[in-house]
Amino acid sequence: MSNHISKKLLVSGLLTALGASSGAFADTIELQGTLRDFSSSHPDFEGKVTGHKTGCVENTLGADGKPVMVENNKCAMTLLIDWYTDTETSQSMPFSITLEENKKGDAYAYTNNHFYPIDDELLGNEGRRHNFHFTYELHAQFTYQPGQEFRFQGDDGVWVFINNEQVVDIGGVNGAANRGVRLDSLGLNDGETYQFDLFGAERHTNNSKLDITMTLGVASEPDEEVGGVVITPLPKPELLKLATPTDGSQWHIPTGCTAPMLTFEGQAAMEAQPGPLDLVLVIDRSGSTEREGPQQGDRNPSVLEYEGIAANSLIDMLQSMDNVSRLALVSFSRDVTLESPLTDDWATLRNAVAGITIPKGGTNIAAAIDKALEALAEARPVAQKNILLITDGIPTLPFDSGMTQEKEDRIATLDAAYRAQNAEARIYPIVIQPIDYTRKLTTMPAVQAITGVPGTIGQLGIDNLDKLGEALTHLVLTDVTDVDVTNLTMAVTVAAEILLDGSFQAEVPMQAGDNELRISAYAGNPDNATVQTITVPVGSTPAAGGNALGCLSHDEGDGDGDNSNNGNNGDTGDNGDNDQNGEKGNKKVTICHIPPGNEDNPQSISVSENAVPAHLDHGDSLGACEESNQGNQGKGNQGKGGKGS
Amino acid sequence: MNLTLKKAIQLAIPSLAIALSSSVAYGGNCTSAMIAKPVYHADTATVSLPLVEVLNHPSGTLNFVSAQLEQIPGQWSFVLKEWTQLGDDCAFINTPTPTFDFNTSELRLIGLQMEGNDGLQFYEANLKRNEKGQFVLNASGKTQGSYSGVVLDANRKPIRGATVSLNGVEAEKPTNGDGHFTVVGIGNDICQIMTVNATGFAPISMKVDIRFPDQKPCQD
Repeated sequence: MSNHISKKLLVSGLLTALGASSGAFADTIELQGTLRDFSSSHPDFEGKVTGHKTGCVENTLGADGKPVMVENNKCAMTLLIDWYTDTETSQSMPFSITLEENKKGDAYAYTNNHFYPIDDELLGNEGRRHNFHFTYELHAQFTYQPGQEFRFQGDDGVWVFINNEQVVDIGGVNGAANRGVRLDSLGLNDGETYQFDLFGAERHTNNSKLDITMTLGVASEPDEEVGGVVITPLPKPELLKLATPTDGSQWHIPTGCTAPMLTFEGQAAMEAQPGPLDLVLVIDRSGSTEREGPQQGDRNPSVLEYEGIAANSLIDMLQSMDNVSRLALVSFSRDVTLESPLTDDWATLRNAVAGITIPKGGTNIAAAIDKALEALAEARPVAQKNILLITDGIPTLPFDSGMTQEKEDRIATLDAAYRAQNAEARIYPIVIQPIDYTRKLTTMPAVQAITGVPGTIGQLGIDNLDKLGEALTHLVLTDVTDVDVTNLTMAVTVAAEILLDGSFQAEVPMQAGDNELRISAYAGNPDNATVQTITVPVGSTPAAGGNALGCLSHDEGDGDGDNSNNGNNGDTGDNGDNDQNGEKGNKKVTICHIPPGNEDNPQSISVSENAVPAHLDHGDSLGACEESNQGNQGKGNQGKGGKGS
Repeated sequence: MNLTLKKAIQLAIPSLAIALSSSVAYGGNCTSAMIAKPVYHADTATVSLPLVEVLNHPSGTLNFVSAQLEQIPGQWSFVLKEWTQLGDDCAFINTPTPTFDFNTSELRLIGLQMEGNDGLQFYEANLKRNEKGQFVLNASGKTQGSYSGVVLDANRKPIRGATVSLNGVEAEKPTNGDGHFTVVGIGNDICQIMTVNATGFAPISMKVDIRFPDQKPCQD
């Protein structure tokens, strides 16, 4: 049932039963009853302030439909019988209050922080600013619907009874207290009509307040104006460029393995047609980048040198991926230099990287961002504009106070991030642990968030700098943090490696026959994934460069499904026993396989000799890879790779 | 430089750059009170206490109140102007929250906000109630400012693990299971850039008025 219908029914029920103002879609509900005015000389009024007390009236109403006082109560009440009966101690008048519909249309409320309804009336103010010392009662019927909630706030006595059962107990002389009741807890029947009785009192010359809210049983829209920061989930990604692989060059059997593996490729992005990349790589050459990183060979390169190595890894990747990406290079310390404008002249970029050699000066990140934005002014209209910012410091400039962690420097950096946001450029920081890193004051998480980049920033410890290139080339520019490929036939899941542009690659174990693959891509939240399933036949399709099934048949599987490339999959243990016959007798050749776009992750694999030419064509080499070059080094810092430090 | 509360008030009163709005006063429900700070309103010479935990109340039933203290002219004493009992189930995230102890008659104000020429200042103050019912300033000292709040999803369910920062200062911990965060050491700017980032969600940034709870946008 829609909210509108629910509301209509309930409002109609309320209106009918409560004697409310006209119309089934009225904006108000009127509650009617009686108000009685007492003198402060009455023993139950203007007495001591007891504070909030409960249990001063019985849980059910008396035969006359009025509250029944508990003897020796703690509410300083002695003559409750006077309160809601016309006697010589009081004067009475008809009384009504109007509940108004709220903006969201899911509740009716009456709110009065200065609840003095009989000033200068009845017994008068007795010389006071207001006419205190009164009681009121309101009676009605209502139609129960699940989800309803009534809330009340009053001062010196508010007792509410529903279906002759006390549901709110605010007794004693006290400041305003707030109580509510969820009608679902009362065992009422959906759609039935019940009695509603409210009894209140203002007993002391202090404040007087009355709030009544009746919430309808409809789902409410989130209210972003009150009570917390509301953030919205990222959308589901698009899965692009998926195809049923038939090319034999996509098959191999890694050394020591018996199962054929499929190099499954595709692209995931938030847009169906992601634009080309126009990137600016910003390199920190402040004085602190003179620090030594981990040993490489016989020496310990500096932070700046590691930044250069990482820059070259990025250039290599962009060059190998396609020819539509462009890169600019900016270096900064106190001053900022545009080392290269946007270009796809990769040799020029490598020379520019090599030219950044002298670390010195402070950390003017704001100026670096502005310089990057200057470079991006030349970006192509259709391109995605991204700034990849490596720094090992916190902003110490542009305000040169001689102190670090100055608030003004941080704010200037955030302002620069807003300029990037206005230019529709995103900033992806990678922070190398600063020297004086004692608090989370790098400002970079805020910079990233301002420009709309989800997830945590990339972070590396000084001892992990050899991972900087990997972190840089695996930044999630598409927001797609994860792509999982599951061979449903074998119940094996493999986490794909995702590159800058969202292209991904997974080494998926296969078996003979049809293999059903499920590809799941998401942006941080697996519950919000785009899923696509395809069927890949093994053995039925003649392969141009080899036939994996033949390899499987040639090897005797050990049945454990163990594979070093399997990522997070569990063992399945069924593929080694596969008795399918494929092509036998193919001579196998061990090669060093360079996964396209992932040159830093070479793998020794064994392929059919027929597949060797295809592999050599895309850069593989004969023979096993050197041991030190093998194996995944883990992902960067966005998404599943975690922090490197 | 550590100003005493008295000196800060003296500085603040004659030259308020931006008068605090009387609407800073809260009361009536836990939700708004639990992340609001006590505030000294120089323009009205009042202190609003959105949330005070009541300790050792004789009846044992009074747990949380919001209140207004009114300054006695020319003195550093205050009288209780009004108070409102909050629900017994107030879950507060002011850490620690202001307290009033009936045993010692001491009102401890944590994170008392005051606005002066150079933005907000935060104090701890101890007021002791005398036999006349007046709350007399007993001790005070400057302290770090903090800002707390809640991060929710579109269904108003709390989000755990969100990273929150104010003017680039990150909360020491990501949001907890209730979505709560507290950023400590937020500086004295009234209007600060708040960013929120959580895995699987679009990040947001906004300029908030840190005098108010509930991420009230800046008016500048």
